[in-house]
Amino acid sequence: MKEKQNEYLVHAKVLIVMLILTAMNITLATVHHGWWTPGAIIFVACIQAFIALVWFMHLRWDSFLYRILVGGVFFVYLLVIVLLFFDYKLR
Amino acid sequence: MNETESMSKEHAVTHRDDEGARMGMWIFLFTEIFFFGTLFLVYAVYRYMHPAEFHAASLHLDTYIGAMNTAILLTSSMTMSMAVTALKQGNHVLSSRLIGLTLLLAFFFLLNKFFEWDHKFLLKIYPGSDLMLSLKNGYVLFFGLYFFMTGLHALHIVVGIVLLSICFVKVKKGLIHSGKNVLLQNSTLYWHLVDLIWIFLFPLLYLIT
Repeated sequence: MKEKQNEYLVHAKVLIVMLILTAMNITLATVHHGWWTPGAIIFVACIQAFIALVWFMHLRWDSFLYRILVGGVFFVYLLVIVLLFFDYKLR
Repeated sequence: MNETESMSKEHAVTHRDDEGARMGMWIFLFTEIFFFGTLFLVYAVYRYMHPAEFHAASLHLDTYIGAMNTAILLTSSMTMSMAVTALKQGNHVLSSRLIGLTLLLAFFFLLNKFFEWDHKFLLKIYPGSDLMLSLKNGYVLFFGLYFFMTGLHALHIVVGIVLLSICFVKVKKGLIHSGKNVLLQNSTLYWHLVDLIWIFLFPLLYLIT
């Protein structure tokens, strides 16, 4: 019974963490201004995405194959960003 | 019909590939990630080209409505995760209620989006309006991307609502249960992706000024 309740508690805790990170992002955007602010906001969004993937989308409990596939997709996306950056800069 | 034929007919009816279904759903989600990811890159390039106009244009967006929508979607993700947990534990009633709550939150999201867009239209801020045509390219690009990306996201929400409604009915009827729940799992994965996309849309459009 306790284990069953713990699972719901985990979901609730993840939501609280996500809401805190959202509040952090809004604070970064509205209060702090500097050259590093956009990067910091995207970084916090990436952390939120990671939490959503691992806990909400169940990657934490899935087989290693799923983690490899998801990691591979984001690696390819990162590769596209890097290639785009060099393509744009060297034009 | 001989014994072999009747046995193979039984097998054809009862065979399921839940793992294959989940893998297929993940592959579909990968295509969605690349789809929206490309749009984010388009946004990034145009923002780099027109920083001042993008900054000024984004000030027209209401951060509080965006934040409210973020909270709504995050909560709906939690309720969907809880719905899957409840179903796996055999609690159909709780599962269906949580799916119902998710649907309600989704409708609130769309309602917020409706009022947001309505306000923009009242101010003549929409692609092709006289106001837009008189502004610099940066403004046109920002609002074009804003309406396209949030509109596409809203369309995904509508598809999610249809999927979750089907799951809601099936859970109620007992067609989805603890022994057969891959449809609910896959619909939940889709819903989490919709949330994941908004996690990036909100800061890109509303916060990076």
